[in-house]
Amino acid sequence: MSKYVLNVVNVSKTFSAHQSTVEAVKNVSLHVGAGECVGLVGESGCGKSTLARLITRLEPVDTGEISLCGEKISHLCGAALRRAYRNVKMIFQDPRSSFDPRMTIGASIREAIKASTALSRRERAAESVRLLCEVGLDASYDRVYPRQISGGECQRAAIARAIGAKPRLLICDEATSALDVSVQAQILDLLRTLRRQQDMAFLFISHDLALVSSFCDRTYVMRGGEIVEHGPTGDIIARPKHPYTQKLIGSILAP
Amino acid sequence: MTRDKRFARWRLIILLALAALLGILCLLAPRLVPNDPYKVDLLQAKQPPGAQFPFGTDGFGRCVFSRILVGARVSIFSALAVVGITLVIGCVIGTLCGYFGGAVDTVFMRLVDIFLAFPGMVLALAVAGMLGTGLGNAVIALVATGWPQYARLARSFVLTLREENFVYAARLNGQSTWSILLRHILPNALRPLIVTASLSIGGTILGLSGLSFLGLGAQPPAVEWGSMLSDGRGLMQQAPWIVFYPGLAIFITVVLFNLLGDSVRDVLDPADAFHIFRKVKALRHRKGIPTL
Ligand SMILES: Nc1ncnc2c1ncn2[C@@H]1O[C@H](COP(=O)(O)OP(=O)(O)OP(=O)(O)O)[C@@H](O)[C@H]1O
Ligand SMILES: [Mg+2]
Repeated sequence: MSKYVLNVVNVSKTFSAHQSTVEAVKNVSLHVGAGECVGLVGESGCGKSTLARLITRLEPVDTGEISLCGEKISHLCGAALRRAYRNVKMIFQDPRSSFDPRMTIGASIREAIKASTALSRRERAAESVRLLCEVGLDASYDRVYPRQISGGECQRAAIARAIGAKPRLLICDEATSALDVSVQAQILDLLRTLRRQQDMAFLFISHDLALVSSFCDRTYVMRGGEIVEHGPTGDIIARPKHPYTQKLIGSILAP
Repeated sequence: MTRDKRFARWRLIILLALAALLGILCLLAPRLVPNDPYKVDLLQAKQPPGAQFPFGTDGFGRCVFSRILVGARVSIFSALAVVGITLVIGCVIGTLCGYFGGAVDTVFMRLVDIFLAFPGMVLALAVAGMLGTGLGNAVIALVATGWPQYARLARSFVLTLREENFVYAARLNGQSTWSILLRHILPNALRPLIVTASLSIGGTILGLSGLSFLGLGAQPPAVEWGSMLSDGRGLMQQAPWIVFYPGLAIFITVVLFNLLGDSVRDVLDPADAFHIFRKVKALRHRKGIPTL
């Protein structure tokens, strides 16, 4: 077992649509240690979500290697990939869209449990209620549809679904951006609690450096598909080297 | 629920009831007929509508009313079969192409382009002509020309659905591709496809009657509305009822199914439908009625 939960080496991805090509991710390398909380900041459109999809192999990489818990996943497929997915889960920016509109929250969570464990039907039902309680919801949310609940509640449910499989890495792709400030704080609190309770590493993706600095041990700064700077979050805030990072910090301090 | 929506639902319920009535009529037709629809009696030929023959008799003395009743089965059920089969074939091809992409997708989509480049009826005529006469062949011809439309539509929905976060989440759950297709992709893509299918029932009845009218559909002694028109067209001057009533039957049925399709669309509109569903569920939730 390698010491990294996630190791990304020289990954690139180019999208080509008709005439134009977009180099969304350029030669990115990053790693996340076990139980570590790593931030990834960058402006909108710099390729953060694309990188998240590459890491989880929801999209294939053009070049480069990605290892999850020591296992190279960039070229896995089928059952082997599904097994590797036990170790990683993702929380999306738009909480509602991460649930099938035709299924109740409970059904979605039970489906996730079914895919990753060998529990019986009754145990799955109990487990889904337990997970909902763990993220601060109650059993009644089991029976509602995603559109019936608020974005914050929906995001909690998405977290419940993600932690059910006890992943070693949780990727939060702008997990709080769609929520208002007070709900944002609640969700962050929840994530902090989870971090304390479970041995889970975080890759916390955001465009908000302030948010990342309050949450992460180390931070990568991304711009135009490239990592321009990385290091301990405190150092980056205190002594930014790259002009882009300096500008980012300037924008937090003098809004 | 707004007045418009309540109205749309009542309209759908009424139209569904009428369609169901028509269906029952078709099923019970052999028992309901006042006269033997197949019995030739030249002495009774070209009788105008009257007490014994409500819609008159045709050139061979057969009761037009009875023939319309037994013909309804062939006309309506074959059209429903055509729509059902095209929906299934189109859905399967479109879903697989959309989800997996690649070379197979390219090949099928070029094929779809070729099919869609011809006017549907012309293509159906060509296919039916090649296969020969017979109701079965007419059904095959209409299916062969109908599936590309559904395949294209299904594919376009699947292309957007497969990039939805809930599909990504299902993949990260470690669910198999089949379970994702059957549990998430297909159910979400089906609603608009069903709307399209219900809108095309009327046109299909017309298409089937058209093929039969041209002699490519149902063969005697089977009765079909289109072939009834074709048989009677020589006698249009002397005995107009022979063509008028089957024509009226086609007209009413097509209009009924088109209205039904419209109504299904209004009620099942992808955006709206959830709304209704959600409201009902929310109400039950608030009142403490257990939801399903
Ligand atoms: N499937 C795709 N096809 C073509 N181009 C894409 C695709 N996905 C992303 N891109 C392009 O890649 C670039 C990076 O997009 P991405 O969604 O990763 O940005 P982001 O950093 O997550 O932005 P945001 O903060 O707004 O979420 C954009 O220019 C986008 O247009
Ligand atoms: Mg993004």
